[in-house]
Amino acid sequence: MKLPDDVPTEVWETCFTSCSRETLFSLSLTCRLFRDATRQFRFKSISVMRWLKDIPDFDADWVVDNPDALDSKFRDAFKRVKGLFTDPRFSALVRSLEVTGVAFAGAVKKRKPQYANFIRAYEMVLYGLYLYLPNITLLDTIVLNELDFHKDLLESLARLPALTHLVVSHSSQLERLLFISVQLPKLRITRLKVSLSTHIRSSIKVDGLCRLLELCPDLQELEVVDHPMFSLLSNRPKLPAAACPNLHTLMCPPELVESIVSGRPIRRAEIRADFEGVDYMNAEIIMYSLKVLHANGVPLQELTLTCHPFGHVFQFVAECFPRVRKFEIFQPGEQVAPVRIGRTNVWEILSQGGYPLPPAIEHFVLGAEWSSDEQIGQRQESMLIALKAQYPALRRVSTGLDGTHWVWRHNCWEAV
Amino acid sequence: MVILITSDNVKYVVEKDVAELSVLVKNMLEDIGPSDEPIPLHNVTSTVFNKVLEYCIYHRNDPPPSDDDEGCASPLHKYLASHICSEWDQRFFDVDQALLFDIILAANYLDIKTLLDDACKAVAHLIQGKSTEEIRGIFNIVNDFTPEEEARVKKENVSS
Repeated sequence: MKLPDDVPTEVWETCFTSCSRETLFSLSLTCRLFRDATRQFRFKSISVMRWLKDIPDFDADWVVDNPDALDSKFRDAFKRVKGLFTDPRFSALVRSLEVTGVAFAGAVKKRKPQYANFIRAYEMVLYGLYLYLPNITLLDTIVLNELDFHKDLLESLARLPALTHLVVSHSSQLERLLFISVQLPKLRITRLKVSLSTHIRSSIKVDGLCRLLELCPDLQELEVVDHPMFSLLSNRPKLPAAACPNLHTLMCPPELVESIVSGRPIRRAEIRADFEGVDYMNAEIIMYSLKVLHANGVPLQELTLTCHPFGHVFQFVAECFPRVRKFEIFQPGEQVAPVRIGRTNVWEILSQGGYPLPPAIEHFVLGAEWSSDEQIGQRQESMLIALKAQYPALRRVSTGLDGTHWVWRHNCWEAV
Repeated sequence: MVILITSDNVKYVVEKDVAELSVLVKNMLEDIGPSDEPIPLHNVTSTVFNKVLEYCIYHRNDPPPSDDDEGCASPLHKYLASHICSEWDQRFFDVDQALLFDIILAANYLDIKTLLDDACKAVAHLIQGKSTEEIRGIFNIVNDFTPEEEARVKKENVSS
């Protein structure tokens, strides 16, 4: 058996890239070689609130009931932020930072004087972040949970040379951003190139979202996780034509497509319906957003939908987006198949051409419990062969939510 | 066809597209130009090369690694991508630990990225979820920490 010293360090590092955080900690305690080889992965991601243990979900009631405990925890957190981010050994390793704030609504409502202490301590943590953030020169991702935008924080973000992912988790942050942007009209986060994730809750927040996008002129990818609460018929603000001219990937609820898509070269769209809604309503909203994409002439090559795959959706995609190479439909959870599919096998319909796919399709995914191997049974392979005959470029098919992936290799379908 | 000779002097005649999955061999072929000259593989024995060749022949038609599942992909895509591993690959890497590391060293020497990545994932699978003591047992590691150093690493881990 080889001893660890017989294997080059870079090979160990390749092995460790796919290890979990817990395994990395175990490895770091085995010997000096593994301590050093794991360091860059152990410190790749820093989560500030991991330090504040024993706080159950940052519940407002908990905050109200335990102000003193929280005060001391925040003081401890500030010391750690300062210690870690001013130590060049560690600050040079961190690539990702997650900061979780606390919902202060409950505390403010009860107006108890003792909260002043921990609010001050909490502000110290934020102050530490704003102050030392630019030390983390390789930081590429920052996740802000329940944490309001702040003038200093935005300026710190703008100074980070490697920042590519900004994840915002609370829509009130967008309101705050609108307010700050008036104070900082010239601020630009010019290096933010890849993605922005945010929840958005009402039409007024679309203004904030547009303002944030205007701050990021090089943005190429946008992800909005949550659904806005407005109907398709209301007048929604639109992103100004000059903002984000290179946006090529859009992952958002269907209601936002019209606000963002105009004039932008969207090559990949992921349209996420609300699973708590009614199925046929979702299908209609998705159809509407697909029509908007088509009307804007986007050069779509990859399309992901989360909805029941009603036949007219297939028809529209195949006819209007002939250049789509990758088409995915996901339906998480245990929802039942649509009526027609429930009675017949979905793959049978597809293989007989009942639901058309885009002519240039290379990769097709139907991710739903009812499209899994067990449901499809023995005939799956012959149905996949029939699909291949219709779509010669098809070389990968995935069935079920986390089920089988079939790859066309050596002139036959192979399960991987 | 390309002629390759392993460190224990076993000669292999390999199709060019298979041999060129190794960046080392590809570069050597470009350097020497058209020639029947055999290429020596100093650091690889025939036992290990048999396995490497089996992998390269099976994966010769694979498309080059795609960027689809990296960087821009959503969490759902990343999850699906990380769980894709063919049955053939699982069987291929189901070997004793010494041979697995010999394959890794050969892939590193021959510069075959996909083989190296897949073999490293097999090692990661071997140690996933194991305790410090269990990992020491797997790799015959002797604890070379002083008590102070060990305490410092524990403190580092709490901070991250």
